[in-house]
Amino acid sequence: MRTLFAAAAALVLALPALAADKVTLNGDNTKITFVGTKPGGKHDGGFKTLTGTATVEGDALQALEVEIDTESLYADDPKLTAHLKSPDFFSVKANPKAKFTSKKIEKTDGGHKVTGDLTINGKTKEVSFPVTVSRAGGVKIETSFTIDKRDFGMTYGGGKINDEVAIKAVVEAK
Amino acid sequence: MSEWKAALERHTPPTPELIEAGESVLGPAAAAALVVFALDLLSFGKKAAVPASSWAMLMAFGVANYLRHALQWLPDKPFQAPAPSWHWLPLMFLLFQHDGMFGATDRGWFLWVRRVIVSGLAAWVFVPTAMRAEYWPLAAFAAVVLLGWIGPEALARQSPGGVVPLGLGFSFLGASYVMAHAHSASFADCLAIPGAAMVGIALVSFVTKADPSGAFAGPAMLVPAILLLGQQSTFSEIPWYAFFLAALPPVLIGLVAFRPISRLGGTWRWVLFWALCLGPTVAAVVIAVRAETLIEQW
Repeated sequence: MRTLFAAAAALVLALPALAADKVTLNGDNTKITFVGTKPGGKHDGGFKTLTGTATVEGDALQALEVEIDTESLYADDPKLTAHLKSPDFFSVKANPKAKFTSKKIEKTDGGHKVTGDLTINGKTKEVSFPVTVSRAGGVKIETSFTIDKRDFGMTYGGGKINDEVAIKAVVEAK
Repeated sequence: MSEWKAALERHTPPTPELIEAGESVLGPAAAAALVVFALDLLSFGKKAAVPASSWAMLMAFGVANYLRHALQWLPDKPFQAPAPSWHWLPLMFLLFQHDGMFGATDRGWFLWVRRVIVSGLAAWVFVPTAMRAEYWPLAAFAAVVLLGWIGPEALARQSPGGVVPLGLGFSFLGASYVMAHAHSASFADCLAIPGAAMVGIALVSFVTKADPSGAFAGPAMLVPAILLLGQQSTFSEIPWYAFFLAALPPVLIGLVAFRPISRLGGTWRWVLFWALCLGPTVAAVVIAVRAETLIEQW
């Protein structure tokens, strides 16, 4: 009888988790892009291959995990793509993966504030950024924020290239 | 004529970048090496030339890397894979220059055992894991480091003066140009620093006829390490043998110090020296220029 009660209690406790949707992220349903700027100009880029999960309950984001294949990096110029993959920036041969793992997600007026560990170029830094979630016709998660490339060991081009890089991520899953 | 101009533009960094490199890499490295070497010789005399030249190279590397941030000084997570091995370059450079500094005073088997050990350590640190399935890449890298160290050292001791460091300086600057074509500015800077420092040391040696061989230890490790890591970690159309050719001059010029070439008359000996020094460098540069361009990316 005690075992039966324990199983029932465990089931009740697990119900909210069962109700949450775990969305599998991949390069088809998730676009991660970035914009690097310099005085008088900018360049666009992004990553084609990634994996991860977003746990969503209703329109509330509960957890977010993303792992990016850095060798899938692209930019708007082939020479720039080669340069961004080099040790001056992402060192993709030495650091083939970039990761984000959420640690804390808070509800805000406009959506969520996600805090977690971002690892790029072998360096991990805690970052926070705003996220909006909508459930119209599936799950849509959007965020845009900036990072300082020096926090991730990318010191090349100081003064010539701006240190702040704008990141945008959009998940559209059915 | 316009074709030549266009080709020149494809392979010349933009003027502001050249000025910046002059201000933060080439100028400071050459000036620091020249001033430190000259002051040490003035203070302690030519007997202190070997440790003085080693100290000059070390200061040049420190000043230029401080201004340019080409390499981070220390690894973030030592002994935790997979930290990029080039994070160890400054510490290894310090180790080699330390050894170069005491090369003049130490003699005998202890000196050689130590040099073999540090060359082997460099191979263990810098030869990528993917190349370690067999032992020969480790042995070959250690041999390149050791021969690129003792060969120029022997030649500079036979013929004190500025020729040997000047030749090495030009070859390192050529290697830097190859690396710039492989789209890694920080690695290109790493090669330009010892190149410019060698030119500064050569100027002092030309005037004083001092032995500059203490300066050779660090670059003997740094240059092949950067070229190997650059070949492995950059994305370009430059074939591997261009990187290999760029690393050869320090190894080849050592031949001039040994018989039968060392018995050649002065002019022929130095003609051969310049051919061995600049021949592979020019070949590497030509191959790199044909394979890639230096179009401004940012």
